[in-house]
Amino acid sequence: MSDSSTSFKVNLVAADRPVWSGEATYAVIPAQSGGMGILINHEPILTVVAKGEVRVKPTQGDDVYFEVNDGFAAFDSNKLTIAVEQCTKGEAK
Amino acid sequence: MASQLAFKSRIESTQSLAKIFKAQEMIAASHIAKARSVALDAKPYSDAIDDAMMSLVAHTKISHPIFEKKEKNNPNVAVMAITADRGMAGAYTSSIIRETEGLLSRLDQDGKKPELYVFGRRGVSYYKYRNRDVEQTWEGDSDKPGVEVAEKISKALLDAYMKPAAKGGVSELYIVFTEFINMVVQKVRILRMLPVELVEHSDAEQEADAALGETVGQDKIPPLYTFEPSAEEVLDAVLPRYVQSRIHECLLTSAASETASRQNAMHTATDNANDLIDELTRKLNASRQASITQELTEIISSADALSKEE
Repeated sequence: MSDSSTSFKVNLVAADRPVWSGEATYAVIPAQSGGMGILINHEPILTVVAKGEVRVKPTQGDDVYFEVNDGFAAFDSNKLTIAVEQCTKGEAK
Repeated sequence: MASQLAFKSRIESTQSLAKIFKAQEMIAASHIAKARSVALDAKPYSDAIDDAMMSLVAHTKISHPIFEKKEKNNPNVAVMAITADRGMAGAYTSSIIRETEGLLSRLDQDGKKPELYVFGRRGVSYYKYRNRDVEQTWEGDSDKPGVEVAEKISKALLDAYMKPAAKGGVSELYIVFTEFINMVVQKVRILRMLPVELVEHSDAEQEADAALGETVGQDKIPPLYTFEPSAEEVLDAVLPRYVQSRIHECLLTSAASETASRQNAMHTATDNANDLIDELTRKLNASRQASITQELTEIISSADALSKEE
């Protein structure tokens, strides 16, 4: 069950395909100045994504990791969109 | 009889051609599904970029060269034609080339100096054969253009656009491509890609959205964004990707059109080959019948002659 009071929508897309989408309670994106954590009701933001690792904590199941390369992320009305050039599934560290 | 043999060999060769056409048609049909799914897969990314562009435009006073070229009277413009790598696609490449030629002469009349960029082996060989100056060409993958191709092309075109006029920079960029409307209809379009003109949602479209029960009213106003690290840097990061994703879109819809027109052309070719086989078979039968009739006449008349002598 997704709890709408603690979770938000995450949509991770690469240039050639959609990668992951679903409900999450927490996400970390590699902004240029370092990792940026996003929780529900974060202020609307549009940020440049550098090379790094995206971590998403879904409402159910284990955290998912992705290696991403160059792109940007937008968060508004509890919907996080991460659009990157390249994306591969990463490993938990 | 010689003519019968000739008919037979023509029928045989037409039959093998018909088989090839049929196979090509089936190959094209299977590629269509692939081209469609690739286009669908790329859609979320371009949607995300469009959304980001909309919010950037709504919240920043944009003065980026991509929107407005500083050198207004630079006559150099770039024209990019998207053609096919292989033939057997009916009028696909020739209609692209016709439109491109029309555009080039229109630009010439306006006192501009068009530079040509060509994608696809057929278009490249057309211009090479005619010794025309082509600025840059790309070949391969016209039926399944990947992100890498779009990246290469958009980088080259943006470089040309960003260069100052004195160094051979261009002030506008046109793309001639084929829009995939449906399996039967594909339309050649000319798109002015640069400088970018952002299409904001018109009132009519909003009403249409509202009628469909989609988000209405205040949801349409983009929220107040924070830009990280700064609006300019976000703009610098998003804009080239916007152009790249638009070019990729053009390549994808062209690839789908190419495959569809190849399928149509091969279908027509198969039909024509079958018609030809029918006609040749009729002629073969007629000629065989004629030779039988002639033999019969000869036998009967010689028998008649013999019986008269008795």
